[in-house]
Amino acid sequence: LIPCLLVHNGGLVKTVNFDNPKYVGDPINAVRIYNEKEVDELVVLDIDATVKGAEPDYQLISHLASECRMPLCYGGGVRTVAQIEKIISLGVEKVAVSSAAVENPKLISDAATRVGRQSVVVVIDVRKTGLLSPSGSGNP
Amino acid sequence: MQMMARASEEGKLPGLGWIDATVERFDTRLLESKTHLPHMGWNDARPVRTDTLFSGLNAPRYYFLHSYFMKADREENVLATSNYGVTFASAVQAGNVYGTQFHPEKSHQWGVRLLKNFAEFA
Repeated sequence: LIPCLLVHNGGLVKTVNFDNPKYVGDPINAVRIYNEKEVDELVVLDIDATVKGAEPDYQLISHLASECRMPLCYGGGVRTVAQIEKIISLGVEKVAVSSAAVENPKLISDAATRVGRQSVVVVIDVRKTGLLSPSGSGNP
Repeated sequence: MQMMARASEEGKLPGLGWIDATVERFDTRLLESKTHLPHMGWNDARPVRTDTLFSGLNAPRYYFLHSYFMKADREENVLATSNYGVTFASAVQAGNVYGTQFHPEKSHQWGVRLLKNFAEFA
């Protein structure tokens, strides 16, 4: 079992069709709950970072990784191999890329060369009309 | 843990030599299931000895991430074994030196208990 948590404004949210985020709790607290439940892995996606063009919140990621008693996958605002290496160095097992991988597929192989292909995840958000690209390029 | 061995197929420099062992790459042709490298994910560890690191741990499961495995010269240095196509040493010991191939810090109660065991006798 691999729960997927969405981070928005520093809190966890639940969305419907990528919209209407509803606050459901604190990320660190959620990690503790999933430690108790002994889930196989945890996926945390920061849904603000790419939209805002912001850097990943390394402090939050580091905090999440140190609380996690299971492997962790982080995604959100990741555009470069340097960012991926930094996130892995914080104690995260896998890094997810989405819009950056659509725009620059080479990022996937470049990242895999640096951190190993086991640690690179591509997330593809799909709407009925095509790919959903938060950065606004490509069709909605 | 692999650095504690004498030598590894992964590099040319000698290891620390704390464990009389060598490190080899998994031969994917020998893997029983159609699986691949690295060995990443949860797997069983079968403790050979339950008095030290694995005290109180019944059928523990751990998180692994590796493509090479340690081959100990002597069975007495092997604390636990796991299987990924081949059976390999997933925990070793020589004197006061302990090594685990898996990640106890990412392995729920089984990892916490193992680290606690280590802290208690260390």
